Amino acid sequence: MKNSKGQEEVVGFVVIVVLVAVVFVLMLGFSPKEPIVKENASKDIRHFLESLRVYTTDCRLSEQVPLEYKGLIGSCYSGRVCLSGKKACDVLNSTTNDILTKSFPNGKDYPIKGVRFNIYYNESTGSESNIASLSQGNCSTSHRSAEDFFPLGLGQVTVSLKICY
Amino acid sequence: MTSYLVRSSKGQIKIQEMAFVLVALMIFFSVAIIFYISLNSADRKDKVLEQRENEVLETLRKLADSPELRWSDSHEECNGCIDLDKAILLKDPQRNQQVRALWNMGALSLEVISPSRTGECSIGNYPLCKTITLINSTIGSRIQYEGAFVSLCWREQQSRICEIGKIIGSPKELR
Repeated sequence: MKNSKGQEEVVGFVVIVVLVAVVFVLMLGFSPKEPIVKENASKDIRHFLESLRVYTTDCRLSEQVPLEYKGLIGSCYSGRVCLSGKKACDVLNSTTNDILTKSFPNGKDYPIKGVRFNIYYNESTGSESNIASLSQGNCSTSHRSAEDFFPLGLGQVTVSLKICY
Repeated sequence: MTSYLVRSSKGQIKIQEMAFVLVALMIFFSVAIIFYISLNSADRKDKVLEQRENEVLETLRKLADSPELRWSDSHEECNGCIDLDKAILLKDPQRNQQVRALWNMGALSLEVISPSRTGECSIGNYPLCKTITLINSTIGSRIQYEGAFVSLCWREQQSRICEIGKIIGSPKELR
């Protein structure tokens, strides 16, 4: 009788040890990953968005100076037309499509499977309106992304780019 | 006597069972820990590779910000902009030698990505060309080239024209 009680105690001890070990392994497995890594990984996309901001477009509002990409976003938002007769928004869409295709070639046969690009205008009141959206390829896999911001009028423009692998 | 022996062997069997269970548990947890460590080390390898890639990109961006290449205009600030007018002048053999000594790199070039261009730049075809090679001493090497996005700008009359490009470089190969 004494012997079986002793054995039960040992079994109980083993159960507790096993439970603690299982909890420990689960905690290790589900420990939160550092978000800094994702931020670092998007550095090249951020550099790209910085370069895109000053890109000289084909749209001119006056004879002298062609619009930079940043200015073209503003012109599209206010519904202006370029000297060539094309709408600023049409030039913005075609320019963006052209640049993204050349900078991030994507598709089934490429390491980059898809691209998602968005330009939003956040008004000072808090409301958000979409200026342009562009989508290429498949974006259901892992991805890296970055955003660029600059002021426009009383609000702020947000340019976001997601590269999917 | 017989009953004592039977009881004793039953107890031994129980102890053996317990020992087997403990050994099995030990093996299970050691396998789980090994699995976790291998996953973690693979993750760490990826992180190191990413960090190295970022370091190269940052070095290239710093190079783009050096006075020899940086777009400098008191009226307009331009982050990550390279003055192509300065860069094309660095192809001159005398200046190029100074730059090679200063930057001590295996390869360094600037490449226009958008709009589409072709060919190596020279004074004759500039700025309607694709590549300005400043240093190229690692032909045939196995060193991987890295590129960081930059703006490649030049002056046209009174305005600034900027295109999207990459600064591509690699370290000197060890001999």
